[in-house]
Amino acid sequence: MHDSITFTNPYSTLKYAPPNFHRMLRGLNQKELENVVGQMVSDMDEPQPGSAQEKGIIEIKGDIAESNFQGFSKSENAIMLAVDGGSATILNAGSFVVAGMRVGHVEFHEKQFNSASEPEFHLLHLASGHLEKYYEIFFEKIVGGEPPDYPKGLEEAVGRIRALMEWSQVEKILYQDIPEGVVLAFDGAMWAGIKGVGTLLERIVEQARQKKIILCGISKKSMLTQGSRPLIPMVQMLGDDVLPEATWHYPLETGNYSEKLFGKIYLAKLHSRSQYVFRVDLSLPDGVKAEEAFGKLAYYADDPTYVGYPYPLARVHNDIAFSRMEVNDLKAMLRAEALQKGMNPKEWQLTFQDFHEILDTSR
Amino acid sequence: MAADISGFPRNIRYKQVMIDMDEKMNLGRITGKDVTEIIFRAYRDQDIFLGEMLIGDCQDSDRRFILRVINIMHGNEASESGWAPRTAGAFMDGDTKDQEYHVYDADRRLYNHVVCAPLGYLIGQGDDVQFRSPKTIPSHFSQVRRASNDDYRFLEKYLGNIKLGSLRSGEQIIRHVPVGVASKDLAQHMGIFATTGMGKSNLMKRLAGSVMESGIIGLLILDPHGEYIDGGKEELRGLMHHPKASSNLEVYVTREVEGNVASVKISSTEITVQDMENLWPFSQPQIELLNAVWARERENWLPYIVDTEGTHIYQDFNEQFHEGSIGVVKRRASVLNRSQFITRDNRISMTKTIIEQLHSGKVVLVDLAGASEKEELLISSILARAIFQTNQSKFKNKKEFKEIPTCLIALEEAQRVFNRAWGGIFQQIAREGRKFKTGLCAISQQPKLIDNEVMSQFNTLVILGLADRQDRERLSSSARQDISKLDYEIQTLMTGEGLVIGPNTPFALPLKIDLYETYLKELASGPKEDKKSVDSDFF
Repeated sequence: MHDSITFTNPYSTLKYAPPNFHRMLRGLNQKELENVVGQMVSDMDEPQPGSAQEKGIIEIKGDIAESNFQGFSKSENAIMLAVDGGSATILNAGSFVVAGMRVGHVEFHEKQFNSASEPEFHLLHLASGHLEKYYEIFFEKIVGGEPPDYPKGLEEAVGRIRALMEWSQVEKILYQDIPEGVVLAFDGAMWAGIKGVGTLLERIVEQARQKKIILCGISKKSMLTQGSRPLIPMVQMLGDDVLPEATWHYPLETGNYSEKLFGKIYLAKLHSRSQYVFRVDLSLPDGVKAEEAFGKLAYYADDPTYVGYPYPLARVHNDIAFSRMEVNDLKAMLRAEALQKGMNPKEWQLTFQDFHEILDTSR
Repeated sequence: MAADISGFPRNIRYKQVMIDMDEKMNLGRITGKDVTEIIFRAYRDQDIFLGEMLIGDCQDSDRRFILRVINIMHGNEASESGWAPRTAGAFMDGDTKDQEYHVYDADRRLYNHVVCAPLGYLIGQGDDVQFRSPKTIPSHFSQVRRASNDDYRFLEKYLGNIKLGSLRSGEQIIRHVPVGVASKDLAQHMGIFATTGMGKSNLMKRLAGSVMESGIIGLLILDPHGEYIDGGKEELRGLMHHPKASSNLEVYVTREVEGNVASVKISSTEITVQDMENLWPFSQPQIELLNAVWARERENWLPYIVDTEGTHIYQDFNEQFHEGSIGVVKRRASVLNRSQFITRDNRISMTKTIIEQLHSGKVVLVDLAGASEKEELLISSILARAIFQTNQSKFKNKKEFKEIPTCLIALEEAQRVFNRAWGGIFQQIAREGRKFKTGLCAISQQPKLIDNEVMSQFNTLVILGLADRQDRERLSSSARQDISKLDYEIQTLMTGEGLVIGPNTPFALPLKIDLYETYLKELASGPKEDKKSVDSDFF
């Protein structure tokens, strides 16, 4: 006969714990949990100045003022080109990865899909030993010259090459015959996050200005802060009070990031019913006001699935991103090619097997 | 101007779709599933209807699969569940806030799943085309399109030579493909089943019209409601309005009717004790009395019972039968005897004339609107028996038998006599009639009340709209073709739409029955068909 098992609940003070919390939180010190929650709450109440500025984290200047919220109206029509890139690790052997990187763009006219570019697709074997070589090739081709520094790991290399490919795509579009007033949108900020890429961004911004193209970066995830607090929720909460049920933008004053920042930063709510406010980096041609640019973005931000986010960006993201099925297909294709060229099936298996897959599929 | 989900004005988009259809007729691509059911993804704004017949062109062979649409469902490319209700919620929210939403790339993100029953497949082209039952499936992602004229050619030999209407594909009427029933199958009986208002009367008039045109069979219509002779309503036409009525239609009436008609008269000698048994329920002693009288008096049995005192009957049969039984039998026999349509003069009966008229390929309409229900059933039984027995006797002389056409007896409210499998002349004809060129055309709005065994004798079915599930199940269980997947289609058939299932049809043929009045107009204006050559004009 088994002794009956008694279970003492160490988290009895938790008010909102889920039904299976005692199993889920087993081994966790309650104090840590309380600290995490307490820290989040106190940070929200009392911003801590001077968070360490890391790459891409921008701290804004001054307080958030109600008077800075600007309402705007949706345009009657617009042409938008949207650029995005995607990457995926197809194979990971630990010492090297095979990565897929792809960029492309779509064009929409008056709410209708007009065309899509043939994607630029690279499949790269990246190993610690020859990362620099690969990076140099891409940097030289896209930015020009030698890179001032190099990625420190495989993951960073993939990220940098993909970012360079995206900028390259933007630049190529700007050299095409596109009419004035078109919105050229891309995923992310106008931020020279990679050393040496500033010259490329300068070229892009200048070319857009000359061709009277509205250049616009929209960030799905922002690293804007005020103190240690994420900025967007604060602005959004105030904006919803100041201009409820409306579209608005909020221009931000930033510190001196002149070497890295190539546009003016705004936060914008592009649809009155949207629950999302996005960071929007704008580089406007002479004579074009921010309201006009936002009106054109809002014109495409009324898809019920992506409310508040310009649909062309969603479309290009979905077109370019690697699906799990594609990754599996690529994996299978590479395996078949490798075996064809003499690789032992067992060697393949042992090189790329990952016990996480067993764990994940057997939970 | 009304805008659709993607913001295009509806009429402009519709026009565009029609242009695409005309050019390519491409509706979508097959996505699954097995030999009993094929599903394809269709463009969201293609008009596809339940019951429509489509073609799936196998990509890896020259097979053309004939697919009948049995269900249509919404589909979308969203990977997450609940996308559609959430999107609808956004639209609804927008409706209340006067806020517009727009589904971008709607043609790419939204589509329809169309579920089809594979009817079979075609191999070969033109005159060499062959139909095969669906024992395999089309290859993955085969293209689905609307059927072309060439695709319908294989039906030519299955369409029947007594035209009822045109082939129907969903809501589209394929005018150049006439559909009917085959005269050679009608001795194997026919059933017409429909809920009230679905067009049974129009169908019967159209059937009679074809028979009047072709003279290919003899058709006896027993009409208890008096609706066929002149249409019954001012705006409707009847059989007497048919251009061939003067030569190929004979009418017998039980009421005052203007025109070239004869009165219904039958001889009491034509009535059998079996007819009595079919009209009233009798106890065993009463049945024994009737049989004893029949054995002794034969065709004079009815006058004997009516005219003979009960006590004499009692004594005539050696006091074997109770006076009460004699009284019941006498009372019921008197009811028949009082009928104005029954005469004791056997020279006056119309029966023999009617049989001759049927044997010469005419339509004989017996209007029974002026008769009581019992008179109606009695007259119907007597006529049916007379036809059956005459044909049966002719069977002994092969040459004579060969010359007579099939006689089809159309019986309204057939469930009244076919609620049991045995015990009447109609049941006997249902079992044995095919051998003697005597067919039944049972018309009923309640097939569920018809005995299963009787139902299984109906080799040709014309099914119109049937609302009652039990009615549909009864038909599904006895039809020669598998119509189990057509349940919803049968339920949603509109007035005048139907399915024809014959012993030789490859599948249930969807039919749009000609409106009789329109048919008469076309007859009056169009070229006349040659007698007994309906097939020649089919294509």
